[in-house]
Amino acid sequence: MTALQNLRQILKAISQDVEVLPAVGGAVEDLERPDFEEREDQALNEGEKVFETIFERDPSGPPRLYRPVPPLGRTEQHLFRYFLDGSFRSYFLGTVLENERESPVHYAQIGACVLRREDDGSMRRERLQVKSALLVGKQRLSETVWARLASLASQADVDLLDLTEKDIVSSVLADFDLRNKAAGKVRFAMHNLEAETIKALLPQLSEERWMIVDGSLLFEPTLTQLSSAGPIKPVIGVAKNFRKDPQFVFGRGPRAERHSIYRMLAGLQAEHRTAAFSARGGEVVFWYVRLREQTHLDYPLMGVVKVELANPSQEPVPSDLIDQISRALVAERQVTPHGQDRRWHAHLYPIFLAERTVKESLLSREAVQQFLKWR
Amino acid sequence: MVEPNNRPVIGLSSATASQPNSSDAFFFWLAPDVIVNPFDIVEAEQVAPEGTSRTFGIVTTLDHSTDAPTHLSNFISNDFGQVAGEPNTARQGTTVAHVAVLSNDQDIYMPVMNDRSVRFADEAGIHTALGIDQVAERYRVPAGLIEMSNKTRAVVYLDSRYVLGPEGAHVNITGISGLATKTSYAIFLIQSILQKAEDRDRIGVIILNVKHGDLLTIDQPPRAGLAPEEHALWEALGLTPQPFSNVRYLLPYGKDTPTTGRPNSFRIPERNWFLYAYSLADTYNKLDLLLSNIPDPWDTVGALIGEINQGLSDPRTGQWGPTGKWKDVTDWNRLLNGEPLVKEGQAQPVGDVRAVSVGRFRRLLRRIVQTRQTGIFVAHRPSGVKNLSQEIARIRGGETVVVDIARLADDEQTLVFGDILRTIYALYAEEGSESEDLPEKVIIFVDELNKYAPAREKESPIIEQVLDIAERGRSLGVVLFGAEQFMSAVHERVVGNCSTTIIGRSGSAELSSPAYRFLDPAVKANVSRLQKGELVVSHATFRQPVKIRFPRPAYSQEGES
Repeated sequence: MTALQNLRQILKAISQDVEVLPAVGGAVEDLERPDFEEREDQALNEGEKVFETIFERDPSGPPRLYRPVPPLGRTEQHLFRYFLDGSFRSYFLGTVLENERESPVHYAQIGACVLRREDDGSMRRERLQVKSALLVGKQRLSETVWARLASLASQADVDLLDLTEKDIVSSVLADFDLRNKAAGKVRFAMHNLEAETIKALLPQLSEERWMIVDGSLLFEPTLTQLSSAGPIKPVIGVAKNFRKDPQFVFGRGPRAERHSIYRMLAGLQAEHRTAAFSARGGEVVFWYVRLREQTHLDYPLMGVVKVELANPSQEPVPSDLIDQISRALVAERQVTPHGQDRRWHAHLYPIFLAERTVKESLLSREAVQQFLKWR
Repeated sequence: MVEPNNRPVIGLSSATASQPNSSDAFFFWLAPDVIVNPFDIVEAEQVAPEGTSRTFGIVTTLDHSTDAPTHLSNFISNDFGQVAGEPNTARQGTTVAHVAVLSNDQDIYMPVMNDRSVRFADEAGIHTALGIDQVAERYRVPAGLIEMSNKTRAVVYLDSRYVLGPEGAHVNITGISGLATKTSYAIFLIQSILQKAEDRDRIGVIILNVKHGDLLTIDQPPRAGLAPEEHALWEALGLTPQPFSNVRYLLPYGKDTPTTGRPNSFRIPERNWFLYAYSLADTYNKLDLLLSNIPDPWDTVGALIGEINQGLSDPRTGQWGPTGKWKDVTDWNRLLNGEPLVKEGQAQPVGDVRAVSVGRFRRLLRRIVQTRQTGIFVAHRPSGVKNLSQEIARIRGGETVVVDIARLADDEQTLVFGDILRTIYALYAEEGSESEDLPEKVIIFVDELNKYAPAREKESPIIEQVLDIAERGRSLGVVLFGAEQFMSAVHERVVGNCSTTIIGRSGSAELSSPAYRFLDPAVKANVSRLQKGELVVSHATFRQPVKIRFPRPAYSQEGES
């Protein structure tokens, strides 16, 4: 609530310097775009569409496109101990007008949470961080107004974010005006907070204590942290939504098989994984795991997750490790957030809980709407 | 989390949009590994003008819910119905206790706010919760022990002013048979009263032994002694485990008594027992009670009883004294077979009662006092065999009279019980309490009360007698302790006049009857799960019924090891 009180002071102060067109009825919550993860995946891998390098090594024989990965439950080997997800809620507060320039003003609460799973399967909160941010287009305002905003924000412990600054996430929405771009900017800030959290958690992780991060690991500075020299860091990214346009080439020469992602995943059986492919020149390996039987789902691509692993050595990763990770992931299909999230078929329940923990810690819509007034 | 009061917080109060807390109820979720059961008494932090106050409540039900919106979600979560294997992550769920508010220690009945600490109440808290702290020490009668899930114990006290009068009176004990709980509890409560009540030396007790011989040795200690845990229970209640003292047993005369000298009883007490029997002279003015169970829609039987009563009374004294055409009616046989009811083998009209009705009356009475009688009806009472009514009238303070009716036929039992009630009522209501040696209070305990005051029955002499006691006994000092299997089978005016209701395990069909409408639906569900030795007590001064335990009787019982 202190953040809201501080922010209210900022709004009051700034409304004395510039003309303001407040949002009708107070703060208006920005709607989340359901396909954002998929578009992010596209943006992060823009240069790569065809993946032909199988980036794993199995001393027992040649690589196989599909490998069985029967579930490896917590009671057998408790591999995944930490689960990280971020979430946010953002609001459009109004438009500031300065001469002929204008900029939307958004307020966001951004959080990241790591849950720790105990040996008995119960969850505890390991780390929760929530930040407040004010988003305004820097290039749409005079330096004086921006400087005043920056000063007020720093006093009030609120992050001031520039809507016009380019970043990998909001560039997905390059075609849209600043107001629509705010959602991307907030997501970018959320990924930064997640990166901070990963960094803080790394010392607690080990070969026996892995962490799952919701979504891709390809964001910076996350990728740099995880692919820094040394052994593989015990962190994987698990994405439930991923791009649908890549092609995969299996084999070499005239007998090489070319698969669209649809064809490849349609052939992927439950409790199986695909071969691991390299991205970013081997800095990251990724593969797909089918958690559930296709017969239970509506569509062949449902029930599949994309797994990313940062690979500091940029050498092929042992197949055994990928199998182990995949087997532990298959065991995560029990429990599911069925009925609470339409992506339940590929959603990991501990990640769902981490997201929910963040959401529960954010200020309610009603509180923000009632509190954030310009006057 | 241990607070300065050294009692751990077991959960936090919880109010939601769909389940708000109110002045009457609140919810709290339980911390993991905390065990709470229905009837546990808890306290929640509450606001106060200065500092905080405590709102006490009793747990009525517990729900466990998870974030699964449907059972199908759980089915799917287990890999589409796989029963083997443990889920990797425990599904998020919590147990929520529903609490009925009992009281607040500063009389603040604001709803309990969200996220307030909840703890088990301690003994003092339980007393505050139930309002026992408002009852002066001298009025407290131990009624049992509350034993909570965290092993906290608290003595539950009844307010004697609501058990023995004048504020309220009577105790009704109900529950299914086979658990030997009802009688044991009634006797325990009587002992508690005799040990703790104010002016206990001026309380007389009449106990009817209606089954077996359990109550015929209440002045004998258990043969094998009491188990140590039972001893501890007695002592925890502040009572001494001891048999009754100053007991007089009245046992029925039987068919074999003239030859054996033994009463018609399952057991014979070791000492201080007397036989009782009914001659016509003892019964002529109680024939209405004897024929209570006979349907009499046109009051013909009643009219004839009136004629006989009048004929056999001495008009000058109002006492036994057949005169005129009734002068030869000196025993049962002459009444049934002689004039004026019969002449030359033919039933005769008597007063306005036609011969045919007299014939019916003879058949009914013959069946009761001759054909099917157990031996209690005698032509003339032998010397040493007592008149029950006179024996009852001799009751003194501090004395317990046990009247055995276990082997009597139903009509005979009704006569005896009605005779006792009528005698006591007459002593207190009609003659007043002038007699100095009359006890100040008389407690009458009878099992199978539904036999004598059945529900949905038209008025009968025995029902009227019970109703008189139930409705006026409070002010007279005549207290009825009744027990029965089904409270729904007892006349509602009798049950309604009981300030204390004790409920043992009962079936859900029984609990759905209107007699139990004072119980919360959640409490009813719990009553159907009560164990042996557990009872639910609803008392005039308690804000909610509570579950109690009580010790085994400290007297010799049949079948004890």
